[in-house]
Amino acid sequence: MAERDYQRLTRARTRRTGMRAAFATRSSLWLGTDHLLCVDSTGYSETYRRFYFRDIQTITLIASKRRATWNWVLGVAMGFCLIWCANYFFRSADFQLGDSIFVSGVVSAFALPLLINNLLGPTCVCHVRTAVQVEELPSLCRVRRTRKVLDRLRPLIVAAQGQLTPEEIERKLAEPLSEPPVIVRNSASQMAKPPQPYQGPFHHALCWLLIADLPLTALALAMKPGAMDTISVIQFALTVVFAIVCLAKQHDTDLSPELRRLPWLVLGISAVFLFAGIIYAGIYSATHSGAGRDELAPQNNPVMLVMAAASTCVSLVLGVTGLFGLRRFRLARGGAAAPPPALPNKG
Amino acid sequence: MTTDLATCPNCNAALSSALLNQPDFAPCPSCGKPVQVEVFPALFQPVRPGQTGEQLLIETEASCFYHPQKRAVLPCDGCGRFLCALCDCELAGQHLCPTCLETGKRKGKLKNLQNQRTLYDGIALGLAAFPLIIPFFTIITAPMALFVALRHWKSPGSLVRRSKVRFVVAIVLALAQLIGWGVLAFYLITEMRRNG
Repeated sequence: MAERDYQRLTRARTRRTGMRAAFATRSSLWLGTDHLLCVDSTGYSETYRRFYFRDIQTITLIASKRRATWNWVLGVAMGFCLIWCANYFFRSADFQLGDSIFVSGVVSAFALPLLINNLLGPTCVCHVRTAVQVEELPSLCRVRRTRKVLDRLRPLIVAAQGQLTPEEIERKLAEPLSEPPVIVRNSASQMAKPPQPYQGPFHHALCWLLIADLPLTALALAMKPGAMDTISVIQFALTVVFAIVCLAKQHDTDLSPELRRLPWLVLGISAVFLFAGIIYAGIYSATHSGAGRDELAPQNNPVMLVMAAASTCVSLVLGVTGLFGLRRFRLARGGAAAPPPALPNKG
Repeated sequence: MTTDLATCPNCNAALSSALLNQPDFAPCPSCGKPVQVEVFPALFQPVRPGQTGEQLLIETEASCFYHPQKRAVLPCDGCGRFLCALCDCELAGQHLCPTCLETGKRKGKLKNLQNQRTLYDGIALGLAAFPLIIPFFTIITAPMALFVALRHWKSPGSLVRRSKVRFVVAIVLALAQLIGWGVLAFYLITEMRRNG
């Protein structure tokens, strides 16, 4: 087959198969004369997977919550930006053109991805199945795009295999299987490796670190500015480190999805608050010449006070929810693993 | 592993025929997740049994090159050797013997068997562009980028991307960096000579 015969079907998207691959591997879909080509590229090498039209058994789409998740992340970040902008606008006496350009730049850094995320439409996960494999197609992650690709693929697959009527499907599904098919799942979410029982105190420690944010913040507010800075930084760094360790430890384990989300939430929220704090501090220092470090302390600055209070509340909620989740998870697993009750001795 | 024909990708529960080939999402009866499943005839086709090759009955009949006791059915499109049904490997309309298949894969002649390619243009561009963040490294990386770009100019690149623009950009960047180092060296030498 001539190399030029491939036509691009989708742009490259990240393949979610572990931490390293998520950053490094991008997957795209190309149409060949008799097959579909999935190209995984790291920028320095490419891996190819071919799905011949005559071999494709099913193409499945499942709706995902990725768009909603990104809406939340970007929406919260943009909300903080808008609060800061409103505060900046009402406080500064001479709001000039340069300021408005800067402010709109900061807001659009979140607003633009938010708009694009919604314009692209709902998200989904697409799998293609052949006689020997089930493979996820990461580049087909939007419903609208996936349906367009499906509309293009369907006639080619039908030309290679023929058409199935609804009656035929019903009849063939009713027929008993002479030989069960053996399918290897290659998708990231459904690897054949069985999950290991989760053990370890890291999620527990993360929850207590989150809860510890409340007394530490209260203490910091009660004391003079800067007195608790070192302890707060250590607590924040420990929280981030424990969240990363939790992510590594929960990989391929039977931990419940709610608890799996906890480290991601902690990292995401920490990043948002840190980013918001840095931006605010930078702008404040730039606009208030000669401003000291104490002016940015929560005791003296209402914006920083609101941010500290919000961060502490979120940490507390996450910590308490996590502890309850862990308790539920351990009870459920203990119940499942417990031996059956002994029969009453009738003798 | 699953033994059901059409299953929900989320919970692996078997799906009824009413949920298959629908134009929109429909909730899975087991997990409730909205799913859409397109089914094609290959799903219901039984796995074809492998060919073993017929035994040679008459001495004068052509036999397989690899199995002299089996009857030849066709010649290999690569080397012309007679092959039995067991040794006949069909690939993209070609009938090849296992040796030709192996050689074609090793030498990269059979593109349909290639599962991986190194992107030398990407490597050259990376070597030329990334060290610009810390320009001191470019004295080592610029010649390396130039070498990779020239050495692999004709090497097979991506199956789907055919442009050599990355090589060109890498060469231009590497040459610019080398010229920059040359100018700097010339300036330093003339300054040293002037100062005695």
